[in-house]
Amino acid sequence: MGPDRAATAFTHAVASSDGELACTLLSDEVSSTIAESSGMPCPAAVLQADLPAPSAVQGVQRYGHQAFVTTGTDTVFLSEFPGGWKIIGVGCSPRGEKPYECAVSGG
Amino acid sequence: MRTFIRQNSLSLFFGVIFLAALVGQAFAGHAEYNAQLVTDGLATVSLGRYITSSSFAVDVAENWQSEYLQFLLYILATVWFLQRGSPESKSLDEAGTESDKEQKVGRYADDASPVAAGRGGLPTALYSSSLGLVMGLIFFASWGMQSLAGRIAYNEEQLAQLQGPVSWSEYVTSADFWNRTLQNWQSEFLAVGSMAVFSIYLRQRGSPESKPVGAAHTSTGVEG
Repeated sequence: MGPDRAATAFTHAVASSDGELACTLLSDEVSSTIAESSGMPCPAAVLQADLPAPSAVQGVQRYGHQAFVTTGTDTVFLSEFPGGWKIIGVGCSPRGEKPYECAVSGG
Repeated sequence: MRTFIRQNSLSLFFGVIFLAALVGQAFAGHAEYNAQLVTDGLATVSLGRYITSSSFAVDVAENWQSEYLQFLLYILATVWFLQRGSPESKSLDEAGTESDKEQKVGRYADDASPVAAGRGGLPTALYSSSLGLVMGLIFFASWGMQSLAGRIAYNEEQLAQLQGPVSWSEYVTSADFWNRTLQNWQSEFLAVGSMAVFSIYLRQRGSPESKPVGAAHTSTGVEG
């Protein structure tokens, strides 16, 4: 599964309230971070996040093991792991020179 | 075989230590690269994937371009520029490209001269600058490779930090590109310039890069 399909699968999983599936598409660090910060298991926490509605992929840029996917409503950061592409930031908005601010990330 | 090795020992020596250093760089770079990935909470990569990565390519290319630039400039600058007392300089009355007779080109080529030296016209003109041309081509190719691989490596780091990627034109005007470039250039220029000056007063017995030990400090263009 390429980075664009992973991003699309995640947003559709969230939209259909399938938190279990959505969490399998997050990196380990991101899934544990949102679980710790919310005090809920990842599948419940990810459905509480302020994420935009699914939209068609508009662009994919891949550099080495990192990828940057833009949709009509969102920017998604992904990284390649042995198990495939996983999300390291989703629901992201630019902040000028600073890192994007993401609704779900490992930071 | 032993004769071949002895007669080509200079290029063989540098070829071997080049490969040894490149292998060492691959292992050290791989360890550093993976350490950063672990810090960022990302997956580590194998040595094979590292040495085919843009991170390894840019680290190699940025050093190659600066080394070839250094020798390109030295080859060209020593045609015209002089350094009194230095074995790296020509004699003080020889600045310039010299006469056809001195350079054994055209009708002055002898039986042992390369064919292109005696042919005249474009072949001789090209051959007369072939060393600089090839060094220059390798310099520009390496610098170009640095810009392409550097952009990918830079964007990989940007994305891992949840920052947006940059285009090639943005990258070649970025601080990262010029910092990588200029930190190599300054060290190469310092090393070659200081060697030209040190060799006025200092000696290395037996080296053609030095004057003979007993040569005067004022003698120029004399190699030991």
